[in-house]
Amino acid sequence: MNTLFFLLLKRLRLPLILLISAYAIVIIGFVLIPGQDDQGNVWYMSFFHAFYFVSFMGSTIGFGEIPYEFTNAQRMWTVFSIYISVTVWLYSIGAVLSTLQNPAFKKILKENEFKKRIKGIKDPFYLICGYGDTGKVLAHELSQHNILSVVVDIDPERVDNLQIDEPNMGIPALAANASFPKVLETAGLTHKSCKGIIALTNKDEVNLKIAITARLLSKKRIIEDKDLMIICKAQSNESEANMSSFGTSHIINPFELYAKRLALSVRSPSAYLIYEWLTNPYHNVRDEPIVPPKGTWVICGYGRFGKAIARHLSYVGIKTIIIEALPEKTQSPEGSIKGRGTEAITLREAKITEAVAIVAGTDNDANNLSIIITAQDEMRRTNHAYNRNKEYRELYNFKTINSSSEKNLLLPDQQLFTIARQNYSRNKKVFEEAELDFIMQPAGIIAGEILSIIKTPLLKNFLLLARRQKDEWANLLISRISNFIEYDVPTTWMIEISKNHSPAIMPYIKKGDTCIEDLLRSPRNRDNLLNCIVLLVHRKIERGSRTVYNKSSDTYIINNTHKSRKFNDHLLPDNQFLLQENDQLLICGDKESMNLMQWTVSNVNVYNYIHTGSELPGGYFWQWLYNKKQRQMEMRNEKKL
Amino acid sequence: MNFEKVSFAFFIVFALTLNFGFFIGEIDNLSHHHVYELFAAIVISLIATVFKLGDRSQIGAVLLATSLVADIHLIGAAIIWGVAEHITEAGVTPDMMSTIVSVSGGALIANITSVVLLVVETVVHRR
Repeated sequence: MNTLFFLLLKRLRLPLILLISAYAIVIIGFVLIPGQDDQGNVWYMSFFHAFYFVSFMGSTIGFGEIPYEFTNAQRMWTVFSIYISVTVWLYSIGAVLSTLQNPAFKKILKENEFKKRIKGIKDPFYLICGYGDTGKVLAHELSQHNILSVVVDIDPERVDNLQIDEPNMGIPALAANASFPKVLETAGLTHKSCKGIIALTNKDEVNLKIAITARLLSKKRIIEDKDLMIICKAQSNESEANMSSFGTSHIINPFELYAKRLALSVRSPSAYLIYEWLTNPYHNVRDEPIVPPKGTWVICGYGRFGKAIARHLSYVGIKTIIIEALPEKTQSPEGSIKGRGTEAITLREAKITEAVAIVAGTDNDANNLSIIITAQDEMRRTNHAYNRNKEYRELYNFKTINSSSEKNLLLPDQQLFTIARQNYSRNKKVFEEAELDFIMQPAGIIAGEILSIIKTPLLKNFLLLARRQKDEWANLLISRISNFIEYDVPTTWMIEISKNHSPAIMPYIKKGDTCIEDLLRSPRNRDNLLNCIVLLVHRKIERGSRTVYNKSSDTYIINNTHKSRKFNDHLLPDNQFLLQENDQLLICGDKESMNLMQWTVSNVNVYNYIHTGSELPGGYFWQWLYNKKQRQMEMRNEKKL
Repeated sequence: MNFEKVSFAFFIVFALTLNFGFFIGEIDNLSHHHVYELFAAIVISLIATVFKLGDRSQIGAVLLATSLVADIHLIGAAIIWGVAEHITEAGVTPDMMSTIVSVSGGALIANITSVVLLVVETVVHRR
């Protein structure tokens, strides 16, 4: 506010001085020039009359010659004064308008508005740095889940676009360089309600700087035990290591993440399906697991993505052939084929017809599509040749096959498994049309991961435990989940047993007989169970107390010793599992069940019905009546006895 | 030498001198206090105020405050004069004149403070 006000005043100095001077000259003129009153006597205007006259003349209102008709000398002075005062007024008003229209002034105005809005935020919010493809998806998803975010981006145009993209939520946005600590502070990094900062800019160094700034500026909060969540996007392994060295909460490397998932889907398709069900923010998930073929894979492009894919595929024992345009620069392994992969020759050289899958992983979307289409064409031609050969053989009754080239042509009619990297979300339509098996979309992957971190932080613990299980375990879980999910995709949510999150349960939890089954009952009819299962119970252990194993259920327990606070994770607890205060539950089910469960845990009457099977009287009057009736019943019982 | 500094100091000192010129004389003697001098004092005081606008330093803020005080006093005096002359039946009496002059005395104090601050700032800077 101060800056704004002073800037305005400074710019208005000259117009104001001109106005004062013009008025002074004109007034003094009217006072000095002799006039005539109605009797013809010489009459001098007083300052009051002169000021009165100049006031309405200067602003072109014009009441006429007051109080007596003017002499010619006065009229001459009036003509001069009109031109002077009108000119000065026009100039002054022009100066005010041009100051208000000044880009610098407008910027300060916007910044002030932004600051005011940040100060006024009461709900917890996340600070998103970088409103590119990823930031856009994330901000949209967060606003869909009613989580407030604040956006900082260096490009004013993108910030303007935000107002168009998300008009309902009213996300405060600032166009400034997020690598400046002052900007982050303005954007609410040190705000009480700031839950976390998410660095999504395209440059790793900027993300790194944001992470360091956030860590240092939130030092105080570590002591208060309300740690700031710092989430960073990293595109290279070096910056990832650097970020993790000073305590960044989550580092997301989209290439690494995707390669890991791909390897998981090769190793255990069912586990991958669970993974996809639980983490996918888009509701277009398939029901059946896709089984990537085992055999030789061709990878086009040995950049950060290609390297990650090749490494993780080699972990699960899959052979890869690499096609790279600049093998020396990217340090491709020996045996790599030089070329872009968009030409049939290169693909033939890589023996595409013998491979089972192709990964188009260059940083150019058009090239990626071209690679896939060329490879599919090549495959089709081989199949065609094979069929023709077969016909000929049947026709001429060839029995023996001599040459090795013919052997190639005798491969069965097979489809190539295709994976393409989609760099820009604006190309979504084309990639969807290309009928690919997997589309690697960095923006969606990062946004989905961050969303699950924010919304259901326990999911990470669950997936970590789930990855250690066998394929049969995953199949069992899939069948359990798909039992009650017919039309909708599963959603995951968290329930915390605490005064703030589940006030209805608290009076019962102290008695120690609340088990998971109580939560799963439907508030409409307590004999029915909701369409959901509890995936994980996360129990914090008080410092100094011993770990208590829950023997009633077959649970897996993790002891996290790295952090000062310990916890136990119980994977897939059974329905008789007893709950305690401060337990966190990760639940998977359909949307309707989620809403019903939220109702159960927050409404005392509903929970009482679920727990006891009877309705509680609502309101003081009915409660009084109920208590009285109870007492009468007791009295009667006593009498009977 | 800086034209901005010269004009700044000029108007502040000029406002004081004009104000003093109006103030000096027997308090209720109409011939000792001329209306033109009051007018000039008001105009110069307003210009001095505008010069002080937009200075974000501490001393700038105090200078602006003193100037605003002087403006209010002087304009107040002018309004009293106008009311006395045009609205009351008796016109400007010696009683009225003493009121006007004493109000302008308040402006004089404010203007003196302004000049003192100006001198202090100049001495502190010593450049």
